[in-house]
Amino acid sequence: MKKRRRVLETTRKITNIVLQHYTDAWDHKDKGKPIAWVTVFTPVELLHAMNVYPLAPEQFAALCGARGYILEYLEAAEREGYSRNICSYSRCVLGYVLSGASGGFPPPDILITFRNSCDVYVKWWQSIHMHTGIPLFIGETPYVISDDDLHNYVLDYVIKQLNKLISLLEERFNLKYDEEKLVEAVKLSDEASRLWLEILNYRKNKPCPLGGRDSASDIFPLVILQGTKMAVDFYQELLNEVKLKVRNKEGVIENEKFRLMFDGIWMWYAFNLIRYLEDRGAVFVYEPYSIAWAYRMDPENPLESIARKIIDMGLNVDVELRKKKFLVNIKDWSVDGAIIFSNRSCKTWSAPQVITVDMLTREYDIPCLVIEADHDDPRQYSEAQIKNRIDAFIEMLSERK
Amino acid sequence: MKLNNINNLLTTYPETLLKSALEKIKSEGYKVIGYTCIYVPEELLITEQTCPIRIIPSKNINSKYVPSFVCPVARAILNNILDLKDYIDAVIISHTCDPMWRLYDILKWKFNKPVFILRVPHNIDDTSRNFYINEIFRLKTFVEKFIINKFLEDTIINAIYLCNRARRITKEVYYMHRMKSLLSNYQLFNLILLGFIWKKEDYIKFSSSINIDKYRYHGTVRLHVSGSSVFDTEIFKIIDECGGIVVSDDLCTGSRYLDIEISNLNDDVIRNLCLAYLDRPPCPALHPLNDRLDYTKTKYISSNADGVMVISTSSCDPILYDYVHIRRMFREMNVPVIHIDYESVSREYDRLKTRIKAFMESLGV
Repeated sequence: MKKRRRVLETTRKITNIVLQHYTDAWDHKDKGKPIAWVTVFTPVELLHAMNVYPLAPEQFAALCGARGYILEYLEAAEREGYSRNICSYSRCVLGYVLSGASGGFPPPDILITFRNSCDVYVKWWQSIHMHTGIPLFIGETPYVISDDDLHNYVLDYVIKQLNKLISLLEERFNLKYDEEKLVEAVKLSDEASRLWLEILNYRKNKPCPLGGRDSASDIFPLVILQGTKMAVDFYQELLNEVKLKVRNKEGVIENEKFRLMFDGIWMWYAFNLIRYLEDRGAVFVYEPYSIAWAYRMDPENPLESIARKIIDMGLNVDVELRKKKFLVNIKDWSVDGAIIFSNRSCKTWSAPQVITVDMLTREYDIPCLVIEADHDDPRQYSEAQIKNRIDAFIEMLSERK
Repeated sequence: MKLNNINNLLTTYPETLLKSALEKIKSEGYKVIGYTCIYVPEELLITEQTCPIRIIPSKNINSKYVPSFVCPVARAILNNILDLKDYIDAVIISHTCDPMWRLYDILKWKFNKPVFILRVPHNIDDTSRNFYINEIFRLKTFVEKFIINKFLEDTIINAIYLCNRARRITKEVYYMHRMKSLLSNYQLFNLILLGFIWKKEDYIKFSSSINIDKYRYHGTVRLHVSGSSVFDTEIFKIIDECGGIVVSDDLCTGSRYLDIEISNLNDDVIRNLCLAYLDRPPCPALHPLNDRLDYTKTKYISSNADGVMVISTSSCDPILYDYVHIRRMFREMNVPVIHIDYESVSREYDRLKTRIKAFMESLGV
């Protein structure tokens, strides 16, 4: 019997896109043009428009975790004195910097972060700056407590900082800000987001055409290639494949029994866990993490739109706003159960998860399984224990059917 | 106040006094505004109707709401806010680090009274100063809306005098402690915490009555202590037992709190208050780090300390990152440095004592 391929054809192209991204970065560097190391949810549209090539070391860390060569970097950081209790993405990147490794991706000419996902970004980027002396820009993105913040002095504050960043890039690298280019980048970014949201909507279908293994990889262009044609082309192709799957009633697995939500960042070294679930008839159909990368933008007001995007991202908004973004429509995806990943590295995500569990169980009648590990440090992962808990959870879901 | 009473209070773990402090304030008819961080200006919250109390953490660090790998200070503050909610009328959380930020989310969900989050900018410049001022005015509106009717200019000025005075008196005691080593480290840092949980007038009366010459503690190894908020003052008891004397610090429960004096009350009072608060030596969670390192270095040099002890909980991200840079800075100066980290001092007393004692011995003083 022909075994169904569990990863979409388009998803398989991500490897080439990643390679192309790093190759382009090296080319950029070779031509003497600036490279920026950024944390995610930094306005990469602006950087692409200004011809500053953005690289997200977080993605490199995830890649190291997925490919199984992260330990040497984690240990290099720990030898320098960094605690195992800090984020493993940051330990990996600090270890990469401290071990003098090269060849993975080009060294930066500037370090840029906006504190939207977590406060660790500030400490992490400060530390790279302290070790390398490379210029550092830290932007503040205040926590959004109501929709008013997307229009009041909070938004003004972020716009002012974006203008400051533009001036800094212009002065340091002798560049010229061109609003037309930014408008174009914002248009492309908006289109990529639109396509991705449409793709995610198709996951409401039974069987689900796109699983957790796909979504974990497919977000790559949304993270760092927002504002480029490469991202739009990728999502258009992905959408076409997903539509075809839906038309053919072809799901991730042949006999879809349980539809799951995953809350958190995936454990990059443990993709086999997705296969383990799929072997038991369970497929991921919904992740707040996947939705968080998409943001509709207004090319008519590019800078304002970028400012809104970087403050209004998933983790940086109030509980009620988060619920509105991620949970209110969850029933549309026919979720049977949720796996809540209590991530030792991501305290900002994990600390309030008790609220997510409460909302899911009490308001939406969705049972939850909480598992604890680290997203990028395999030493803090107990496979047998987690599989044991998953087995029990699947049994419980079967009882509910 | 009698010496025995003073001594008893200074050698009592302040958290055990929190409930009685709240009861007293409530019995005097005040509304209690609990807050969590020194970026919240107490001066704005001291009125005829309200009294601010910094919520210090519970001894119980186990939380049913927050995972065990998240900072125990945040977990234990949450425990105290929920345990003492009958005495607290509103809570102000300041967003400096991730756990405190998320504490706000959980309180909004579990604490059915007004909760405010003060968004402290993580990068200090003119743009962020203006943002912080806007935030403080938002805080003022929050207090007016939920707790009192209206702020009066005179009230704020009186509160500023009161807080300036309280900090000044504590600094004098600290100075005497450093010079004469009569008060123990445990007593000194308990005294500072008492300043957070007592009404300012009571605290001033109490701290003014301390006659430091009556005490007989003699530490010999001079230490600079670095960190963020050290509420678990039993760590200072260990330093006492090992013969150390804390001669300077850069703690949020120490000099960073005390090293601020609000002056220029003639012009725009609230603006001046904001600027003084934001321009104080930076918190470990903020940027730029070099400003903080300079502050730590200056403190160390001026105190003529023998070594540096960085104290933090084992999951305090800002300190866990900073420690690498603090250690590097002091090693280049040939200054011995140690990091003491813990979840709960009382549970790890012997381990911590062994480590601290070994460090003291290595200083060879």
